[in-house]
Amino acid sequence: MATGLKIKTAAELRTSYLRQEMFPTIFCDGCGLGNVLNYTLWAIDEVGLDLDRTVFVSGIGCSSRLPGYIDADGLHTTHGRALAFASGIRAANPELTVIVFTGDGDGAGIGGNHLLHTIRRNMDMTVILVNNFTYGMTGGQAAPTTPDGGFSSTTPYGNIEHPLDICELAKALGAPYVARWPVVSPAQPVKSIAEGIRKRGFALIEMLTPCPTAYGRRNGLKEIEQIWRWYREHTVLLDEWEWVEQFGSPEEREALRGKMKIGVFQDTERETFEERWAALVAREKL
Amino acid sequence: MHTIQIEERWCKGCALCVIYCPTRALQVAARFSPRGVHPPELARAERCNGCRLCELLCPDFAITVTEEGRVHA
Amino acid sequence: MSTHRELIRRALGPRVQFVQGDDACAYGAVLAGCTFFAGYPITPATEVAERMAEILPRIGGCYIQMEDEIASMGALIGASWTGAKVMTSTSGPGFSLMQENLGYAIMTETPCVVVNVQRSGPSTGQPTMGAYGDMMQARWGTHGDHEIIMLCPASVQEALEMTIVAFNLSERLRTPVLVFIDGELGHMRERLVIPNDDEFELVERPRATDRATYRPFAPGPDLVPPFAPFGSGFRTFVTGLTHNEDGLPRASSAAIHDQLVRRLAAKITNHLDLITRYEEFYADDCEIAIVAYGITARTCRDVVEEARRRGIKAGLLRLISIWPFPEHIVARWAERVRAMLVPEMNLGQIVHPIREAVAGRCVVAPYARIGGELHSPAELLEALEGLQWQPA
Repeated sequence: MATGLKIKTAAELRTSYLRQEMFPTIFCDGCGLGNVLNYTLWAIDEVGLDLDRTVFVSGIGCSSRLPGYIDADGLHTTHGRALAFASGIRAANPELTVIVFTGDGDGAGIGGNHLLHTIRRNMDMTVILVNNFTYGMTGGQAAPTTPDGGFSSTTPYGNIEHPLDICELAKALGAPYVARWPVVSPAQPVKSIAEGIRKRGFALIEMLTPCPTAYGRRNGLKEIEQIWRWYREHTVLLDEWEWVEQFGSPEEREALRGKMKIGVFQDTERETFEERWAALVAREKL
Repeated sequence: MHTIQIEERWCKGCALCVIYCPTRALQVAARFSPRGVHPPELARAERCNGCRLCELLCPDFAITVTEEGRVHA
Repeated sequence: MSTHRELIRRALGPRVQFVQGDDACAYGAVLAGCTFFAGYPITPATEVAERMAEILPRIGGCYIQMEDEIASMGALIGASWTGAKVMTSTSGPGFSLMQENLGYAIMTETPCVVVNVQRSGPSTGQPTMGAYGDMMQARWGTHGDHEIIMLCPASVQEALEMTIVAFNLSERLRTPVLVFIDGELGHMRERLVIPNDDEFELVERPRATDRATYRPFAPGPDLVPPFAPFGSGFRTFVTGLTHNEDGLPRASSAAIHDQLVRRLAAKITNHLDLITRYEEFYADDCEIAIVAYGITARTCRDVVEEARRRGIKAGLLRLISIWPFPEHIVARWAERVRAMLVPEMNLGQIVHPIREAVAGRCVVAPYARIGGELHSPAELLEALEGLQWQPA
């Protein structure tokens, strides 16, 4: 596994991968979705994906707009259901590579049940889940990942619900590849997305992404430099987290609260639905 | 010597390129683009070493670094 | 090495069988070339899924049991976009869940077949009892302006035949097609003759051939766009948002929305000649008509014959395609009869478009029966006799 990234230019990516007539994007200035798109293109270039044989699937939300910007087959579906549509594509034609873009609400709120079962079946796909702690497209309502006390248009007095840790859920469900990275450091997301694409089975890469307009603005995170610093200061690498929990002082452990774990949560092997179905057909076909 | 090209129809003036340019070669222009935002400009071209971090961080694929007048395409 | 058609024949078994309506739907799908089924168990449709689960692996297809009916519909659409012929089956509560994605299939012109083995509702209702309470939901269940094709077979044999027809219409017009039976028809057993390949037509969706001039949602002369499956290099963007002929979202454009939605509707209504199906008994010499569909129409055959024996000039118009509603056929009957008896296993649903088509030319008398029991011939005969005394 190469650790160096081949340098690509924006001009190269533009001409090779983008549906340029769709630009400029609908994303706000300061939105992390453009970064996610950029890193994804780096990753698919790294892997050498054939875009004639790749389908991008999404649900509804700002992150679900991403497939429209890529010059490839795209399926922009209904809210929360991207994984179901993607499963149909994979089951019917396992030769196609499927990459799913979804959000925290689309993927783990309304889409929670499909997340559970698609991982359970271990359908072979790469899911890039963009987590901005809110339902951004509709103006910034509370989402399953909105932090404790977070302000949103439907939690004007502060969120009282416990936020969901999507990566812990995916890990518990046995997803062979689970990773979480903030957009503020490019190399790790690019590498993880590439690893996820190469991984046999369900790969989840959760991208912590700023939404200055719908979430940041209400929670004291308006300026992009401030936001990017916030992500750097509030994300802790997994092994560092574990070290602090084991060996850190009470103050250091206390400082972990309000921060998020990042890194590769799980990287294992597991038989996929597609492999098992093919084996079944091989046994039963007349 | 490096120059930059800004696709001003796509640039939203987020200034990530300026903030994270390792050599501070870029700055936010005083003028407005046709979109009504302040695009970046290569104020100190001699400092630009062609690292392309601005290209990597631009959410809008709006900035292209060219080396000695050639665009890498 | 067997061909797919040979595999199908071997998987289906003997030419003549004694099976349930649900089984017949599954057999019809397989004969039509269906290779993908995504579904969820629900009484009284579960047997369709079970049959497909047995048959599909044996012919190299795919059966996937999804976590709910919403996911079933989603998986169906995803699979259809790889070029496969696809089907699901459900009943009322599941059909309700499928509405959003059904609308998505309409908007994205995705061929698929949905079988609804209706049960008594609303809500959980009477799971094992037949009813025809979803007839209007078939038409308007999903939001927004749209047309839908729905077929209503009345026998186990017809369930197989109409499922094949459903696939053909779905492929030809690139639209979802509904096959509606009910718990009675779904679970009763009748003699089924499995047709040979030369006894029915098989239609494939129109294919895009030229990458250079390909525009995914630019309609052909019959308003149906050419289809390019995912992975063929045509790079199609499919969205449920209002889109232009290149498939790109244009949700803010009134003009594009108007054009798109009207074309999708006209795509169906321009092809009534392909869709409209019905059966007539004593059409030329009828004063009191029964207009019926589904299993109710079976009872009405008997009623009409008995009425004739008693000197009543009765006739039967059996509707097979319900949506788009065959108003011209009903209107034609309305010209000639004094009254129409409309027995339905619901509190009156298809009686409304019937009344609209009749436009006051004759009396329309609904006869509702709910609770899961069929109308008895005796009660319908009595109703028919009652209508005799309507003024001409």
